[in-house]
Amino acid sequence: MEERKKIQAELAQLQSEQLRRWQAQAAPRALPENYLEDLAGRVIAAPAAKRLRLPQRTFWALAASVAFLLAASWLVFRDSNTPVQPQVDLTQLSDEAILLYVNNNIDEFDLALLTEGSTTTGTVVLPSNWDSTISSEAIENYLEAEENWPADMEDQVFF
Amino acid sequence: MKDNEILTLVADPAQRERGFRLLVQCYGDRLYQHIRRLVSTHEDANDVLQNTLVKTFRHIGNFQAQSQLYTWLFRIATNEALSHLNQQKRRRAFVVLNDETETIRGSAAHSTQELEGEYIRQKLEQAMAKLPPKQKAIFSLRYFEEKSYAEMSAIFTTSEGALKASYHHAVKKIEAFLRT
Repeated sequence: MEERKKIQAELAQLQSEQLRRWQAQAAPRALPENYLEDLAGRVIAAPAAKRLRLPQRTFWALAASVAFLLAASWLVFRDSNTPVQPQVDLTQLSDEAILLYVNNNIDEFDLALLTEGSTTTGTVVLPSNWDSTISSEAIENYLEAEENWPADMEDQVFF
Repeated sequence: MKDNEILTLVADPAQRERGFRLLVQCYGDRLYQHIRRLVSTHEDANDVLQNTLVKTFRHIGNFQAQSQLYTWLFRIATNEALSHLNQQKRRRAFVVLNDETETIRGSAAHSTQELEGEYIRQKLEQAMAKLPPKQKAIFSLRYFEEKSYAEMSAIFTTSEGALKASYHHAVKKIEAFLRT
């Protein structure tokens, strides 16, 4: 009651006659019957059933991170998922076309098979600037050397 | 004092639920009215009040009585309501702050005084809908709950001077609205 008098005096000082007249006149909103009792019961009955509501910002940050990771993974691995080219008559292909294909798919070839083919059947034509003095063993050692691999390839996750 | 009775009951694990029910009985309606003035629809008020009571029930055992129980409850309720309004604001480009189409459903059973009380509440809520969320909360606690600036300072953790300035601005805006 004491505070109400102070509020009334404050409103008079602010020349707010309408608010001063209406204070404590506004009717409270009616609640449904037993609303509070039922609500208390629900809270007690399910204390662990809290509303799992991530803060909005956190939710969208997580969603954006997942979307980014998926998009990045798709971009990185789409080349390895390129469908296999249909079989063609190799004798009809130019040397440059064969070389281009080999270079793009070098991982799928056994290096020894490549070099073996070049010495026994003569059907694989190496580029003119190929240094034939480098042994296949040396080439393989070079490819396997860890420092020659990009750092992130060690942790690749294959989908 | 009901507060002492509530705190004594909730301190005993066997009586905690009974103490919580007593708390809801004593403060539930006032909490609802305060929240309802801030969020404007019953559905939103129900959500906010439920979240408030869940937090209350969960943490009442840790209540240190360094402040009054009322202060603690209304701080939780106000923060929950303001968070709710912030989320609504981010979700929607246009926030309906008040259901301005609501009309008073008069009936023969309603007295003139009741109808007038309804009218006054509606007009004040329409005026309050123009206020920013925190200012609305300050006005609600001062004008409707008749809380002192010292008590409100404990709720908002804001200086009394800042609260007084905010309340005075709110009064000016509402008064201007009511004159139109």
